[in-house]
Amino acid sequence: MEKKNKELTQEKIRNWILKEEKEASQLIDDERLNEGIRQRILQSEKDKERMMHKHRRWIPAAAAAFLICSAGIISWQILSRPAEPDLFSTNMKRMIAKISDPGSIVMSQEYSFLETCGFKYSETNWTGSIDKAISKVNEELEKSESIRSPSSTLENIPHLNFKEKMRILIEEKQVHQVFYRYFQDLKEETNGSKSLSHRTGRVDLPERFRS
Amino acid sequence: MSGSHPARNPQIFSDLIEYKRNVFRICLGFSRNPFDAEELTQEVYLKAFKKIGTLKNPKNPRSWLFKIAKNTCLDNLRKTQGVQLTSFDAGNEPEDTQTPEYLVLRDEQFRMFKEAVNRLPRKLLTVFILREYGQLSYVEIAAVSGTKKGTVMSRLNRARAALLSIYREISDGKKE
Repeated sequence: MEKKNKELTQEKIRNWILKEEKEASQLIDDERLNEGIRQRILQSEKDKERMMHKHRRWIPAAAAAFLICSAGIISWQILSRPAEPDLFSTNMKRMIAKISDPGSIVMSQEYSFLETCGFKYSETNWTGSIDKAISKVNEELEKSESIRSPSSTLENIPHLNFKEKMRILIEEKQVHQVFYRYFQDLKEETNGSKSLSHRTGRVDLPERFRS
Repeated sequence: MSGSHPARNPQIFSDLIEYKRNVFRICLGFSRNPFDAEELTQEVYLKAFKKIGTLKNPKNPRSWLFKIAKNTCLDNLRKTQGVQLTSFDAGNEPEDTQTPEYLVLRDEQFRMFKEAVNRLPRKLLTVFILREYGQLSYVEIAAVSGTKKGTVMSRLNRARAALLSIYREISDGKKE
């Protein structure tokens, strides 16, 4: 009998569990459970509402700040934008990028650019009309058409010298301005003469552009 | 009730409240303390209230609710690093019907039983509590645990055997 009392039987387990539940139920009855659940959910809803209220306060402020910042950025972008689209510069930059690549065949483009401006390369000098060059540059500024050149001219270019000249221009980072200024300077030198070729028949690049 | 989204149907939550006693019993089984069980039950219903929109089968929310209960209790176990034995004692029978010797023996056995339950491996403990405390069917336990009915039955047998073994171990340790 004593041994049976000490042994853990399934029946004993069930009884203990039932007893445990009964005792727990006396402490926490259905009504208390219901009320506890209700209170917990209500509290959670209140917390949620409070959070929402908190958010309601800062959301308009954040939205206003966002709008102000956006407007500021847009204004800044508009104001800092060049007065007119610098498309010629874009073309030149594209050329610069290609020149920077040793394996590229950009010489033809550069060569054709000068050719488009009316210049011709002969041995170590470029010859051509300044007015024509200026008007071509202006045309390029307006049209921003990409410069094409016949690939057949590539062989005729003493590319090392030309590359060196372009490297200097690139370092100046003002390629088209340098060209433009260069043409303008030449025009002044010729006292407004419409064509330099009328006077000299050729145009030399300034000292620093020479290889 | 059927055919509408659970999140928009307060009736479903009212139906879930009917199972509060089962939920409480499961929580009691895991926590071994009625006050902790009460807290856990509230927690379970709060989670159910918040997640009611995820209920896939509104016609049978029982298993879904018990799954929340099981997970909440296991999370709580992990947090508390095992079930704490408490001073709560279920053996408060009318003393005039029991001899002092019997009462001492019964309290000691009950304490050892609680300790043995606490030492059960987590998987066996879960099945044991869902069955013995929650009074869930094998099929329901399988749904709640995400296992097969056969696995549930096997685990329950192993849980009972392990409980007996641990209980004896504790009992023998006391004698020495």
